Amino acid sequence: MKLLTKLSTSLILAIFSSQLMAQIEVTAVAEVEVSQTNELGEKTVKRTAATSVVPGTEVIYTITAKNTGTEVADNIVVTNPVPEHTVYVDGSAYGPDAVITFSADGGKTYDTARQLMVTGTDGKPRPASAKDYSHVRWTFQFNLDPGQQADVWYRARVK
Amino acid sequence: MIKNSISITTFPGRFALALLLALLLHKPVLAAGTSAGIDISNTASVDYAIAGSSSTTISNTVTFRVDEKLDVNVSWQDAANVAVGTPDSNQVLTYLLTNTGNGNDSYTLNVQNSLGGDQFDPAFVDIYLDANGNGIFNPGVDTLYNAGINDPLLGADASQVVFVRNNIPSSLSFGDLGNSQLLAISRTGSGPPGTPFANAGDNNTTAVVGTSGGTGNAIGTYEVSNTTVSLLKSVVITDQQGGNQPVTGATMTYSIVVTVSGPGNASNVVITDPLPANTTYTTGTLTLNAAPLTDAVDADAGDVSGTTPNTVNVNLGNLNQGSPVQTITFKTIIN
Repeated sequence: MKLLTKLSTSLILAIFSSQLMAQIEVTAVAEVEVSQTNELGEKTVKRTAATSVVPGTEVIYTITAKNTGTEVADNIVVTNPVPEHTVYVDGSAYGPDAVITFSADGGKTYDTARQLMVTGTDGKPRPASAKDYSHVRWTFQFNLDPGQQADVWYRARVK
Repeated sequence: MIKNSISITTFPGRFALALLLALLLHKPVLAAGTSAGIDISNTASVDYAIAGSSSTTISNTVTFRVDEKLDVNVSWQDAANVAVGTPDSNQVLTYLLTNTGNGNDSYTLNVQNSLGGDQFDPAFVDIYLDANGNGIFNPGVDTLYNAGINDPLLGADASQVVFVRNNIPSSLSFGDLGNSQLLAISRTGSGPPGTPFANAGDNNTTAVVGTSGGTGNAIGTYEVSNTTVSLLKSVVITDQQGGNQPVTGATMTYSIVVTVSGPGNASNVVITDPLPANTTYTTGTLTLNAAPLTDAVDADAGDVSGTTPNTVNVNLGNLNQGSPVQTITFKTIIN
């Protein structure tokens, strides 16, 4: 009995510590662009955190993956559902040295923008368009060394 | 003393019928967008492997709120210029007010009639709100608008038909145009697009002026299109002495010249002219455009004392300003 308690305690500790010591941390940031004109009459575009926006606004989502561990991470795939009430802005997803694919079926299957198909209203398959996308996915073509981080981003327009 | 008078009856060739057709065809309006006050959240995830062992990490959830966008549209609904007389009163223009924003808003309405590009300024009377939703002004049914009292409150994408009534000045010319503009101003806020009004939106969101500036307007146009039938009556007196004195036995040759002006049609024009008192009609002298007409009520266009006792009656049918001038003549002898 005593042994069993000890065992289960160590097991819980093991699980707990593995979560605490997650190798990859991921953070999401939502920003909007605000264009300003300075005293010289020059127009500058500044990004500020999105706290509230009106419909029609494009929101820029930046997702940062950082290796906080001590070992190399590979097979890194970042996935982001396109939020409800927004629509993916065509051509806006970017990630250095990442293959970008999209899902139009709630994240079940992914394909490149060129090849992704959906079922049209006539029941026949048709090429998916930006407004069909439910998820965006970045498949890194590189590993993250300890301490290294990488950003990916895309834009979504509030409906 | 010999008196004479003349009258005409004609179906008024005014009031465009196209009006009714247009009213029910409301313009489709684009969806205003996500409702004000909704939170939009996003959470990303990352899958990875370390030394062959797969893991998934979920990101923080980033959330922002949808603000209220203040946009409004006004469109003029009449299919064509509204035909009016000169003068004329309480002539109705029909507009559609639409909340093209994404939250509830109410609007102050007003009318501006001092506009360029027209020949006259209508005189504003009042504004009515379509109460029964039929798109047609119904006196006694629709609601008189009072600014600040019953400003129309509309949800996102909702519409309200608005009627503007104006009076039309006198002594205008046919074809003259008069413009009247209906303005709607958001009561939540208006100004340059992007102007914020803190906590003014639905669910205490910030209300932000949209591309419309929080105002909408549309111009409706009246056109003076009254069709007028003009009569010119003249008389030539020939006395038995070869002179032109109106003495007993002298013959009076009457001539009535009928012309139509204005862009419309005058339907079923009937000229009735009571025979002058103290004269006697000379049988068989009625003519229309120099062609004789019988005195009896029959297939031809006119009669004397048949339709109405002691009255010349000529039916000219439908006329417009392109019709040839119609000339009626008849003779009487002074008793």
